[in-house]
Amino acid sequence: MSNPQADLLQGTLDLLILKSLQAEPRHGFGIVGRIRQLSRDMLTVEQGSLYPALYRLEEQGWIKAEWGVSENNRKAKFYTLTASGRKQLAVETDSWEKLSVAINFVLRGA
Amino acid sequence: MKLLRKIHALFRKGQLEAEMAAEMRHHLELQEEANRRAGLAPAEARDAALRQFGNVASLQERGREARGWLWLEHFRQDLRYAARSLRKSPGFTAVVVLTLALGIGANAGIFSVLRAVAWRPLPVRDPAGLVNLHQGISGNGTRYVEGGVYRVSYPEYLNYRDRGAGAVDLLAFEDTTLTQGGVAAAGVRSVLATGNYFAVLGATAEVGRLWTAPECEVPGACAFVVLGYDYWRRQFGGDRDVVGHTLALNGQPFTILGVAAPDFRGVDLEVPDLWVPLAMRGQLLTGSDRLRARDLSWLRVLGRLRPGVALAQAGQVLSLIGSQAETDTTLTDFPQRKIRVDVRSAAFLNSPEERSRGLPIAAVALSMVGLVLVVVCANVSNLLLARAAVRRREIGVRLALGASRGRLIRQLLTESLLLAGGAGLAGLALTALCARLLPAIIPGPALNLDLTPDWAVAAYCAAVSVAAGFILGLLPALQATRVDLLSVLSASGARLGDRVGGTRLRHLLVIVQVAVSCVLLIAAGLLVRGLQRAMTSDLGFARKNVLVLSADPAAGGYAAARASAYYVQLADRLAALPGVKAVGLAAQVPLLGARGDLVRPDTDADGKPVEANCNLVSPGYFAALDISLVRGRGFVAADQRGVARVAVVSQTMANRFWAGLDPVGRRFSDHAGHAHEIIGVARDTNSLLPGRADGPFYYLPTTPQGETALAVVIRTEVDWRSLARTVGETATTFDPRVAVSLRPMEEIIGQTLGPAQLAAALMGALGLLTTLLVAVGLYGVIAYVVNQRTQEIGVRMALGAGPGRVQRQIVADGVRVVAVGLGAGGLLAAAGSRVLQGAIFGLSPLDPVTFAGVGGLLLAIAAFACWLPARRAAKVDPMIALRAE
Repeated sequence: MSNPQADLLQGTLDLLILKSLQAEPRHGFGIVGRIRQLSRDMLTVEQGSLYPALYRLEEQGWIKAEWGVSENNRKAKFYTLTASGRKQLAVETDSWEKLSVAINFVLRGA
Repeated sequence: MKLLRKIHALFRKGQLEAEMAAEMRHHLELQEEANRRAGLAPAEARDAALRQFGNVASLQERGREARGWLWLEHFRQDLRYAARSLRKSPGFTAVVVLTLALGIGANAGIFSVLRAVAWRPLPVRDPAGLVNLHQGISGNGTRYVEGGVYRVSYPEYLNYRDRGAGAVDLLAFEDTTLTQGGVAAAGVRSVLATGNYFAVLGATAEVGRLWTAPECEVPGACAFVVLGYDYWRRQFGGDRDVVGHTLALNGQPFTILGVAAPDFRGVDLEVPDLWVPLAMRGQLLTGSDRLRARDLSWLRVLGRLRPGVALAQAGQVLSLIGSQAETDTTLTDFPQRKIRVDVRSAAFLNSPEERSRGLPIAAVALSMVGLVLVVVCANVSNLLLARAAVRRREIGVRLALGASRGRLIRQLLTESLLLAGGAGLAGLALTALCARLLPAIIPGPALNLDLTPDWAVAAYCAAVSVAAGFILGLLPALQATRVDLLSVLSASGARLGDRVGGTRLRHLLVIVQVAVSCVLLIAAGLLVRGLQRAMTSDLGFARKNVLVLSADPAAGGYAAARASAYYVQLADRLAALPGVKAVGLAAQVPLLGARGDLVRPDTDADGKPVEANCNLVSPGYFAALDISLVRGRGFVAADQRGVARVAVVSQTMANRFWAGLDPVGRRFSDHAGHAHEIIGVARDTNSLLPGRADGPFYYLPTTPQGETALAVVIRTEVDWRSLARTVGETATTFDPRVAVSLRPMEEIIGQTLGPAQLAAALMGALGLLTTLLVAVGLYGVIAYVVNQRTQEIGVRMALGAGPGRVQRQIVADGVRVVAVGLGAGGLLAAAGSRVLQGAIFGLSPLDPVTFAGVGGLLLAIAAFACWLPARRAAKVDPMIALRAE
């Protein structure tokens, strides 16, 4: 059960999920697809990481779950970004940008 | 908010689970569709989706973990699972809970005794406001101490009381033994107390009334007594008309003022029989005027905080008074002294002195029962290991299905915690039961202890239970979950050549158990052998067929001079009875008390006075107690007239002062400066403690005017039982007004040994309990090993090893382990047995009989415990054993 993306930083996954929900509510499968699409097929979120992360974010109050009807006409759980989730997204985006700039400096130096 | 949601999540568990399942199912379906669109065949598309999704169960588990209080939920699950699995093996559960309950109960019991003695509030009304005052003196000067260095003199007490009256209401008291109705008949435990004693402590009267402060102001003018409830019931049969009657105490008449209510049993550890005003001390006990004595520590001080005054405030006030008293020459002759006042919440034993002396005792007691609990835990651990071995398959299956090792360990630990918790409750119940039964069993004076478990005992019990649960569960849980899945799932048990799992661990546990029970048994053995020694050794005086008769002629209306005549004539009467060998009179009966004195021999007349005990005896005394005279002569009637002061000294005193000289004809002086001429030397006796020879000791003759209270010692030629009745009747007919009582010397000796007997019995019970546990534990280990090695044994026997050889080998394996434990235990015991020195009546702490006996006993028990399973091993049929492979 080795998971090639298990070492994706936990905070990073949270950031990606929040980002994928920025435009509209989505269900779990939709989130996976959205992240893949945004990353140009470079990132695939494993289900094994996705659902625990979703529940955790729901616990934090950053996202909210509601039952709705999916595109194939079935009952599905849709996740929406809450107000505090939006704030969190801004904070995490900001800190991620700072971090990547810093890492880039390090990598280009030496 | 988060908290609420979590609690909510816990309750909506079912719904959340269903939602989670539905959500994941939906995800799978979408994935399957996507796969189909990508060109996979329907079946393949589904398989691929499942593969991509991963282990649904484990995913759901991780989903749950992200939500709610997983540990709490796990705990609930584990608890349910543990309860179910324990219910399935009721025999195992009962045995474990019972043994653990004994171990935990013993710990809680000792703790509750220690708490009652040194920590619990005093058993009086509203004890929270009561404080003890301890006065520590240092620096230059001489201070006489009686009873404890932290006590105060009467003038010092008055100083604290009067100047600290705004903060605290102080009382003072002294506990002592007075005699009522003769010397040995009734030593009554008495408390001499200040006038405010009852008022401050909030005591009430059952009958009559209690004294008040104004009544007790004039020394010598308050000859009244308040009886304790139990004493009143015992001595006066609960007669309510007793109020107003007089009672003779130390020969002085005291009016009975009342009887204390049953809920007031004083503030001493031993329940006093009666209370007398401290102002009467001069009338009761002769000697210097105690109430005026300076620089003498003898009174205990207790007080009640005034309303609104905190303990710390009172401490400050009294400390200030104490430091001002350092240089106050109306209170002391040594104004360079330093005083440290210590005020603390009142308990029975809480002076710094008592604390420092009691701490090692408490430590020894707690570690003894702690050791018992260690043995119990080791034993239960072994049982759990055996159980885990049986459950290897179950555990293997659960691991294979994806349970994490941590989770399984937690689950097994929950099981042992549940066991320990049940045992804790049972142990607490056991403690409560003992608290009710114990006072009736313990010999000696009634103790003022409240042993019923309170919150502190319950908390201690809970802490011990949880600790025990972890200790006994951790090793088996770690061991049980270290499983090689393949071997467990493919075969039914260990195969030929497999290392028997956890055997070394089990051996270690047995070694610990053997060592601990060895220590306990040796302690018990030493105590029992010490007692035996005390019961049978030569005390220096006759113990068989000796009766001690006590009478109080003063209470019967005799004046001092005529009281003496009463004794002499009674002794003559008794001596004339057929079957009586000798009769003597004495002020002190051996083992019931001694009179201390300070003497100076004529060889060192200006030196430091030396402590010596003394007794006043009639000419017949030495014959009556069969104390032989090694030099010179005993007393004759002429010596009693007191014309020439003569004395008989003990061998020890003679050797100490006149070594190499003939002591007869020499002189020594007593504390009052009187010189006595030695006329004889008597054999040493053990009159203070059986098994320990007295230090310097001397005898003076009784005089016609001297003592008011004497004991009559009678040695009979025949069994004392056949003469007791005649002796009693003779005394009663001699003068019916005088009450007499009769006790055999054997009973007096037995009573002296009471505490030691109790200690030996307790230690013996603990030792036997642990030995039983060791036997059971050893049996379990060996039986398990035999079970695991059945096939190996089968092969050996098929190759020609006889049953006897197999049996011998198995027993030898077990005994070898036990021998290691014995060695360790023996060394531990040898290192620590000196602690018991004071309690074993002169027996060597390294007594070879005890050490060898305990070693032999444990080896024999171990061999038997190994032999039972070994016998079964020898019956293994090689064909059947090998076919099972």
